[in-house]
Amino acid sequence: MNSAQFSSIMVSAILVQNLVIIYMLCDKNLFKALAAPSTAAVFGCCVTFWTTFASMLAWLADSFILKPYSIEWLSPVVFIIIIAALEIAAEAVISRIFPQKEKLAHRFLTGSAFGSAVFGLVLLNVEVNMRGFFGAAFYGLCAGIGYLAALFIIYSALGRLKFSSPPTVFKGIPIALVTTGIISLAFMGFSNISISYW
Amino acid sequence: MKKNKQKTSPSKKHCAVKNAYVKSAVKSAKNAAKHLSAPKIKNKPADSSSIKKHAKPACEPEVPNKITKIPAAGVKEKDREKENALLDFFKPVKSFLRKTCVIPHLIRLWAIKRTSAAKAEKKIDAHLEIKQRVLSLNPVFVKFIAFVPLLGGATSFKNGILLSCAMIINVVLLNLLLIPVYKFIPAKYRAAVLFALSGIVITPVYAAAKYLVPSVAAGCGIYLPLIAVFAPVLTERKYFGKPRGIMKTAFCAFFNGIGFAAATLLFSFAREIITNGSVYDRPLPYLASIKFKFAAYPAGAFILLAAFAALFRKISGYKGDERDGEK
Amino acid sequence: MYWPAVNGGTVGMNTEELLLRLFAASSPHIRHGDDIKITMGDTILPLVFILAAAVYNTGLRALTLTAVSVVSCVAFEYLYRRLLKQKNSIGDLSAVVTGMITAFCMPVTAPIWFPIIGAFFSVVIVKQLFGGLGNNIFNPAAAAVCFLTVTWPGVMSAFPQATEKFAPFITPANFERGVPVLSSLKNGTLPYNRIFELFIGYTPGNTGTPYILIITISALILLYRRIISWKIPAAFLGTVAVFAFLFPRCPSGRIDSVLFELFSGSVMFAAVFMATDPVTSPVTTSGRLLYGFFCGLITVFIRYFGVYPDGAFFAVLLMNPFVLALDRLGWKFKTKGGGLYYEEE
Repeated sequence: MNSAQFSSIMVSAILVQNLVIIYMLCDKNLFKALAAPSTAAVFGCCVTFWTTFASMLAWLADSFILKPYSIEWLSPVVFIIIIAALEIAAEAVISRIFPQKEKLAHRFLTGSAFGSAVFGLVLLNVEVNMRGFFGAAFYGLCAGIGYLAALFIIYSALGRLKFSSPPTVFKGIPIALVTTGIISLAFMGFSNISISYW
Repeated sequence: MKKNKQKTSPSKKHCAVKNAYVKSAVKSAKNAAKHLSAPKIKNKPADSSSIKKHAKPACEPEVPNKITKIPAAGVKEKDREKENALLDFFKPVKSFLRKTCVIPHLIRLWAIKRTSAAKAEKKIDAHLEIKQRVLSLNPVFVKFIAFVPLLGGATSFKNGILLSCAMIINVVLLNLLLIPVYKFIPAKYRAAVLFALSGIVITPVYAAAKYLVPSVAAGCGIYLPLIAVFAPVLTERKYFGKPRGIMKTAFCAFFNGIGFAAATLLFSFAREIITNGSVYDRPLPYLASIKFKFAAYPAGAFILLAAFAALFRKISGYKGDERDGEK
Repeated sequence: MYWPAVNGGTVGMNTEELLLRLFAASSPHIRHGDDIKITMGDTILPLVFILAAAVYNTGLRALTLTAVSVVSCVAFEYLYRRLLKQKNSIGDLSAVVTGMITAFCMPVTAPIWFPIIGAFFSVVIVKQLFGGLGNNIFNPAAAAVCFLTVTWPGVMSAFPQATEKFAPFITPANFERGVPVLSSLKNGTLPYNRIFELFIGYTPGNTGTPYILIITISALILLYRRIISWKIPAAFLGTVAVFAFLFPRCPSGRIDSVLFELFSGSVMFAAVFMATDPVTSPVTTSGRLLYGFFCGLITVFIRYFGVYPDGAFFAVLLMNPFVLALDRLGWKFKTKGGGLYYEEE
């Protein structure tokens, strides 16, 4: 794994295969978290944490359990169990360290772990298996960073929405979806990027 | 003062009260006798009125029991008697008819049954809220809780059908699996266990889809397993411990799935027509030449979803939220 | 609060946001203060010059395309306002400007329904759905051009030869395709056109974007009339020039590379007419400079590594959501020194 491969992984995870904008893995928790910048930042960091560690464990499970015995049809359950176990473990750790913030931590951790972003990323990561263990982990990390970047872009755009007046049937989530759609149109300029100069 | 009160025993008190009552009764009797035998006083009308208030004999009632009939204008007494006689004649006829004639009886019974059936239907509707689950509180277009598989997976009608079937099966099975287990899960782990159970339920669906319709399953991509993420959101725990809970839970889950299915089918139908001008891979006669590949891209999916959401809101008469959104 | 209120007034705003609203310190920021019509009318004049050059170079089809685009933009805006029973807004001439800019960013050989679809997307979805002029987040013309590029990449990249002239009402079917300068740069070969030819627009390209001389004159006119600010085009083009100097693509040297990168494609046109849109660009100085810088950066990135030959429109569309954040950053830089004031030009 040299730097060119790492940079291509980074570019593809953040720009070409952005979880929110290109793969549309944005559920209602994302729009709820965008209400305030602090919640959005914490939510994005949680998702980054899950994507990194879940993709590591999922790659291991895939390479040593699923592929050798040709049971790829079991992959959704295995990944779900990995994510759920990770979430329970993380919540136990955090409730030990910060006992007062248990409820808040529970809301954030369950909202980010059991959303579509983490599970979708794990499935995507395993589809392209030639990255190796460190490649998969780095891809997970960069996908999380891409999630944070997408949160930042959508938050900035929705902040501008405060000064707009769409029709009544569009107020709220529909106009946010249209905004995200036009952002995704802009991101399509990055499609099929190949970094061959460096 | 208190001590004096405590010292008097209840029996003494009773005697005192009795004596007082007897005395007052004797007094009132004497007064009554005086007034009854009082001479007529002609020159003092004020006194006579006060005397008259007291001099009311007990036998004559003040208010008559029957309300006296006000005779109608122009109706004489004889005609009134005739009317009453006719009505009295028809009474036994009515009762005879009621007992023997079947048809009006049947009509009456049918009318009663119809109203009670309507009430029962409304009851069932109120319980299961079918219309709400499908139209006014659609999980995809109104509540926005399960729209991700639509955006990514419903690119053609076939994919839409597969996603809907998978969701309905997943939601119903998940709800039924949860009934015996739900009480024993501590609140902290509910989300995780729900997620894991949903994953266990999607495995046979995913495997069957990959085996039976591999091209369509490959077309859905990662959005077919993502159904497992959204099935727990469509569960309802209202009828879990109640009588006939299994049937009611199954119906609730089924109709939640139908809501998602309706949205998915509509969305995928529109998307395939706009993208390819075809339905179920069969090109339509005039629309096949007009193709907008944009609807297959993520941007088109977002905008189309927003358009459908606005349409559903318009149909259900959305007046706007205070917070301009939904919690 | 779970959701930022649209038009929710000043509830829940902190001092900074209140001041932003009170001092109109972010877009839309109308320069003349009395009429949008004057601004738009002043913008239409240079566009008419470009249209004249286009008609001279490529025939009357340029006029047809522009006319169809303008008429459909105005018609869609009128119909939308009529259907939703809102005040008629075609009098502010912004639809005319959008139509002209959209028509200039497509090849002359585009079919006649092309600008109509672009007009629908730009006017109805990007502008009117958000509430009309002043309420939109994204530049309507940039969004329309990106939409057309993504959906019909073949049509948008089929440029005719520079010498060919086209009749107004016939859709060109078999025309000779020219090799634009950007394709040559991407392949690493020497471009077919010289720099002088690029300057006067004698090169395969869009309808209105290759006429660099006229665009420069238009930029000077708009600067003189105080409609656009010099900061955004300067930052945009400066960034592209710097990156072209540092990483040259043209085999004939760095200065040639700089000139070719600047004068080819639609970078000049986008920098002068699209990135400076008063509604969708920042107001503060540092905000504007950063906006131009990032637009240039993304343009260079897409040109060097992406599939689409020209990334200027995608860059403008990508930077549109960040305008408010850039303005807030610009305000922070400004108020470090002392009192609040907003940008005078």
